[in-house]
Amino acid sequence: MVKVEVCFLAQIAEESGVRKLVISTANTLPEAVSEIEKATGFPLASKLGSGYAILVNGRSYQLLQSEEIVLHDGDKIAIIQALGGG
Amino acid sequence: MAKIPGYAGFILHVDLTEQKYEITDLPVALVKEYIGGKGFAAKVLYDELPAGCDPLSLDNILVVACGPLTGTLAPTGCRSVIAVKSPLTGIWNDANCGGTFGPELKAAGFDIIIIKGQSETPVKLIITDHQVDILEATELWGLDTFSAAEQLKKAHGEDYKVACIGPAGENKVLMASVQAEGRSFGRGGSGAVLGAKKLKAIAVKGTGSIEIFDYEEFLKENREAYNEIAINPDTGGARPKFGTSSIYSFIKETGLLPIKNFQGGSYPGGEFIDEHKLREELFEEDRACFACPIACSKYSKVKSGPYTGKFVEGPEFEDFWSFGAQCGNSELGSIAYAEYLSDYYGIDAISAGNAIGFVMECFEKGIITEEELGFRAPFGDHEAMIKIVRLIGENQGAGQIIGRGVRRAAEYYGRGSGDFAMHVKGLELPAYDPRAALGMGLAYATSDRGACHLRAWTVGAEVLSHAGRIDPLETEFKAELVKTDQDWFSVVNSLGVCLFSTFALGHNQLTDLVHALTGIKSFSSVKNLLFIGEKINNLIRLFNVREGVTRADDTLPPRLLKEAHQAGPAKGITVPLKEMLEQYYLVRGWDEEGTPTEANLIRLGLK
Repeated sequence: MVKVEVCFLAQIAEESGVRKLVISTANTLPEAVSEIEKATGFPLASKLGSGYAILVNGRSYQLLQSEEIVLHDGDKIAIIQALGGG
Repeated sequence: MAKIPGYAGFILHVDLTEQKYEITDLPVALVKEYIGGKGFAAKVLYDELPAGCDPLSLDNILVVACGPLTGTLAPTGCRSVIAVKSPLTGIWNDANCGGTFGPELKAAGFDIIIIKGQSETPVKLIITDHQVDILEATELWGLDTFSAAEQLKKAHGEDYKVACIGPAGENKVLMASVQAEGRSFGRGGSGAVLGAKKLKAIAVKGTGSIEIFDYEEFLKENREAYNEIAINPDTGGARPKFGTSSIYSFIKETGLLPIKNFQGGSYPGGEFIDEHKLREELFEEDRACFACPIACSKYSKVKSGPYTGKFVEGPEFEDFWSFGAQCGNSELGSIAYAEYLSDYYGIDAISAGNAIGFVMECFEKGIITEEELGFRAPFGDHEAMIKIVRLIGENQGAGQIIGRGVRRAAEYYGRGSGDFAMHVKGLELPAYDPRAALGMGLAYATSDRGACHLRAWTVGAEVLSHAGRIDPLETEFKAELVKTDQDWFSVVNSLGVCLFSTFALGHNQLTDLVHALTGIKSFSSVKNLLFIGEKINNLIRLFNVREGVTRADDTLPPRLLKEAHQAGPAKGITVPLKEMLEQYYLVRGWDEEGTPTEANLIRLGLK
């Protein structure tokens, strides 16, 4: 098990009612997503790919998928929406 | 002559030297080949501006232009551009503005104003439909932008929409803006060109209408477009709530937020600054531009701390950064007040904040002394930041150097400061560190007006990694990405809609809108419009080449090429510009020096 910090950014923090939390999870992203859902009640898995995305330490999970993400203690997961520039 | 659907149909030519004007028909060929807005301005300045002219002389030409969708029902159809040869950069510059000025100009019956010459005394241009008056404006000279607009409206009528300059423009501060109804023609110093021409303000009022080619189809396309904007998580969710700063944490998490003049690291209180804090502590109410359902603009009021009671329309994300992280400053009230002062004096808040960060780094390195400035200016000193904004706006003291931009300031202060003067071609960098999304490095290096995030914005495609293939830290696909963005953005900036609409509206939707409005065949497909966008960009490149731009200018500040990013996902990364630039020239059809090839110009109908 690892401890990771989870941040919900901008509008998703409003939708989920959560801005930050720390979870204990097995070291894979699917396990972490499942733990985030349990801890927050936010249906994250069903939203991924439809305007919602995950960053692991600032890198897109889509890009990291092929590298089989292994989470470590202190990693940071950010839940984001596809947003344009400002 | 019958009106062209979607257009007002006329060009206003103003000669300030002779104090006279002429109205001519808008040529159909110009419409079909260049769409409007930026495209119109490119054609006018390329054809009519004397090459090599002094931007602050009577030879410079100021073009104000609207697009076909400006002033229509189309969502975000509020945009107009001011284009000049920039006094800050010495090359092409178009500054794009929302609000209500462009729609009113179109209602007054003009798609384009072309202003030449120079008045001997301050004047104002009053446009009431097709009645045009060039009047003495001595009573307005010296006033800030808010007071000038207010007095002008008192004298001529509250329903005029006003674009004007403040003291910065009058004093020909090279980063001076033109302020229009709470919004800015911000970048590149067009305010100084108005100041040099002694043109304090342009006021417009119109009662005209715009003919629509296919009314039913246009309404249908608009309904669909408004729906798309409403259901989009950005334009219908985050942006209305948090304004343009909705992306603040996203940019920070991905290593894209420049800190302390792109040095990186941390600053006191910076960890607590985000879009939630901004919304909770500053925002008072929403504000929307003409025909905009997004309403990303905010009125803010400072509720605590040393700036209590100060207010601003903003702060926008760019200014939230430029007066915040760029200056190592977490005092929210001072950020709001600095943006207010930028609007008050009429200066570009991106360039001003960027330049202040540069000064703070110079101060900490002993390159600029307390004696030279008259005060200490370390990072995080918000009082020093406010003082410098005032000095720039009033063109006093060190502001006379700093207001000329970081390129010239680095030349003046010397001692290696050019290595961290964060500009491209003289225009200060905005709020994205390209070491964390390499495409932005290429975008800055090749942007037609110098460092700009509104000519190509590759961040979304890179950081969210479209289809899991585009890596922000690799160079693959970046040339194609930047070129495609640049060509489409030139289309959007010619149509007269806001770039923010494109976060919800695809290429096809904007194409369907403009085709239903105008019925013009060359606007009937995305491919055709992209061809026009490419043509506009090549014409502007020819303009810049004529002004002396070469491959050597398509570069980045040494800091981004030599100093590695300090932390986060881009730790250890510099921008490998050379390989991206070579690929870019290839996909553009430009030679090794960055000049459009003859074959390319023939293909685009430019030769």
